[in-house]
Amino acid sequence: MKFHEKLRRGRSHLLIVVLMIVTAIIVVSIEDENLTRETGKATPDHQAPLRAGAGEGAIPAQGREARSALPLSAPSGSDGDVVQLGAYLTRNQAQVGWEEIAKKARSAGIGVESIEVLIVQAHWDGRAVHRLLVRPEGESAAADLCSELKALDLECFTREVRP
Amino acid sequence: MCCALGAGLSSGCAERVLDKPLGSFYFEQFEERSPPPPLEYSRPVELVWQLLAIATLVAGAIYLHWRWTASLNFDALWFAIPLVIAETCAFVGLVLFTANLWKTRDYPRRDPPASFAECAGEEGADRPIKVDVFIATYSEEEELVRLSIRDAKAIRYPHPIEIAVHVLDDGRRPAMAQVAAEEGVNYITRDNNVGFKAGNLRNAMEQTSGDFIVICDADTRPFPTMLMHTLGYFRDPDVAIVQTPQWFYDIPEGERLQDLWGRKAGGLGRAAGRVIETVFGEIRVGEDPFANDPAMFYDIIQRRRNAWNAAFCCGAGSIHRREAVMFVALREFSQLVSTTADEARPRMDRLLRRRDAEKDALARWQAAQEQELTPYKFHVSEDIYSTIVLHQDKSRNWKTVLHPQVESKMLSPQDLLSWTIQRFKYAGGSLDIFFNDNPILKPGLSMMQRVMYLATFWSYFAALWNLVFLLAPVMYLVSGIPPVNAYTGDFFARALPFLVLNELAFMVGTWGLSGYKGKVTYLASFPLSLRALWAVVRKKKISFPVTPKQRQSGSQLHLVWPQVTVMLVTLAAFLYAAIRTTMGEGNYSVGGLIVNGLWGLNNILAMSIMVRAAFWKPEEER
Repeated sequence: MKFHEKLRRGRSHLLIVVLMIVTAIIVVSIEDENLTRETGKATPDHQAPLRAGAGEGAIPAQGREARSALPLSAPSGSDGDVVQLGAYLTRNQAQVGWEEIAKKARSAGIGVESIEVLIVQAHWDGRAVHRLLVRPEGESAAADLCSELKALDLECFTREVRP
Repeated sequence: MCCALGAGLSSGCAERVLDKPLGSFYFEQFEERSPPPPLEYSRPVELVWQLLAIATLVAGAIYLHWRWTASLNFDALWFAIPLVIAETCAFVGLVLFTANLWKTRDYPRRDPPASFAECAGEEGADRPIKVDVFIATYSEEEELVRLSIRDAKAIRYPHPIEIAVHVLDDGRRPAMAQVAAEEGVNYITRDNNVGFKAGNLRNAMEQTSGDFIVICDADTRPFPTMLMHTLGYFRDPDVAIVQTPQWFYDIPEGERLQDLWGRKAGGLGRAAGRVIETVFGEIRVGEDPFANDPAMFYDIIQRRRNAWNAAFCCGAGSIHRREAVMFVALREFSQLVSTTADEARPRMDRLLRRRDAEKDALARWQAAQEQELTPYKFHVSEDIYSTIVLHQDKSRNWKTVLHPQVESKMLSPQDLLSWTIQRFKYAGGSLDIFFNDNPILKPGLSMMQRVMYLATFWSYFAALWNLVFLLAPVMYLVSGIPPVNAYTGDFFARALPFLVLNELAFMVGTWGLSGYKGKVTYLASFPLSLRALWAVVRKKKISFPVTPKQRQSGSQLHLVWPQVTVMLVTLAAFLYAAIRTTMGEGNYSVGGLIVNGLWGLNNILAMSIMVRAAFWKPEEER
């Protein structure tokens, strides 16, 4: 049997491969676009913001301008600013994300032990995301903490919790 | 009985009877077809397959690890958990199938032995080999059996040989006896149908004495070369069974796309068909509507079990060493007698290990009266069951061989009812063995033999997870709840390498064969396996209906209602999701819609093959 005939018989596998790759490219492109709309900025790396590995699964923290795009439900019923450190696909990833941020903060002398940590689920483009939020105590504490974290090259922004 | 004592006489007999005209059968038009040669073995292709297979399993393991640890949608565990379990079970099946396909190691072909001494070790007498050809029949048309008889009589051998053809008629039909008499072959019948085909074979074994037995169904038409090409394996005194591939010579070839479109839409259609065929290669519409082509099973699955001495007998087209069949039957018989006699002893005697030679002898005699010697297991899947018993017998290390070249031709099921009966028997029989006499956990088999048999059994359980795969896209399209937490790059980064590697691996692993139709039929035949599973779980006996050899007329749509239901439900889910998306409702993501839409479409296409088969008619009936 000639190579050409063998290839003909195996063509269904190749067609399925092509179909799967094209589908993946289209879906990921659309999801990227939605992500960009959601975060208010272009994703710097095609893979990094979407990957769900420990610490890498964060959807990058949003700028203040995007605040109104995602109304935040009150995490514990009280008012005040919180610091959003990231949004993750799963609760586990958010917890891992917090552990890494806290480690980095502690090593820089920023006290994070007494900070209230909140993981809040929200919906974005039909799927669940888990926002990693912290609520430091005191007036303007959120803004101060965010500045300190930014100095460590960590992304964050403050957002107001509506009653 | 005719055609004894040597090839010369054998061929003379064949010529004498072949002057009788054939009956009028649909398959006469296919008489001149010749079987495809076995796939060529290529070491480089095998190496590429093995590399791709390992890569696939690694990628699959990574994907599954991610699915269990990081991707579950905790908001919908009722949906996420069954799906991930189904994926895991399918992955286990993939591992088993990969092990099955791992390597091709054919048994070395050897010259046909000139005498029985050459294939019986030291004990064999220096005399011509004696072969009994059994043609088992029950209700098949007598003239159809006549064709098989004539071909059996035409078997040639390069050395003196005694070939005796026997018609084993469980239907006790005078007309069949008449045909046997006209053809000059032996006619064997009995006054009951105990054990069905296995019982029929046993009855014939009691009345014959050939060194080797060729098993044929009523429609099995052996080629003249059958013994010339297979008896050489028996030079190894441990070889018990040689199975040859079954080849259905009546499978519809279909019509080329360019011809079909040309016929329906004139020159434009023909041109369009030609363009498509130029890009994708030859496309045949209506080819093998029931996915009957057994090449994947024999040339790939069974043949690659040779490496582990795990090919199993499939009945028709197999050659058996009588000594092996009887050896194992006697061992089984003696074990049963021993067990039964032991159980009959008073409990106190057994506890105290008290023996009484006289009582023991009486108990054994009584037990022997109760037990039956069954060379072939009285079971709906007597062929695979008997092979398992052979493989379990470690005292002789019996071997089974899959001879890769086709040595006979037979008829395929020509309608969905016949196809369903045949597949239901396969599924029910295998599952019955799994639940009631599971060889995987019993002593006797080697590790790889266990893996191979488990691969067979596992494939029948696949209907359970296939059902989940059929319903999963419907669930998403109706509820908007994704089973994974997102269809993002995160998902594709793990799923895509696994799925792509899997397709490429099996393209190379089955290089030279088309597996698409078999794959989708496997998915679409889920109701059949589920019915078989349900019957076995309820301890309902799987019946032995004879697979019809001629086309059954009438509507067969009732056989595919589950497939039709899956198609309609999926279509309804498409419509529902489309309406909700248009109205700005629903919780769908674009990625989820695309992925589940394609998934649902794949399911509809797979089901449609079976539904189309229910409507299929041969050319002359259209």
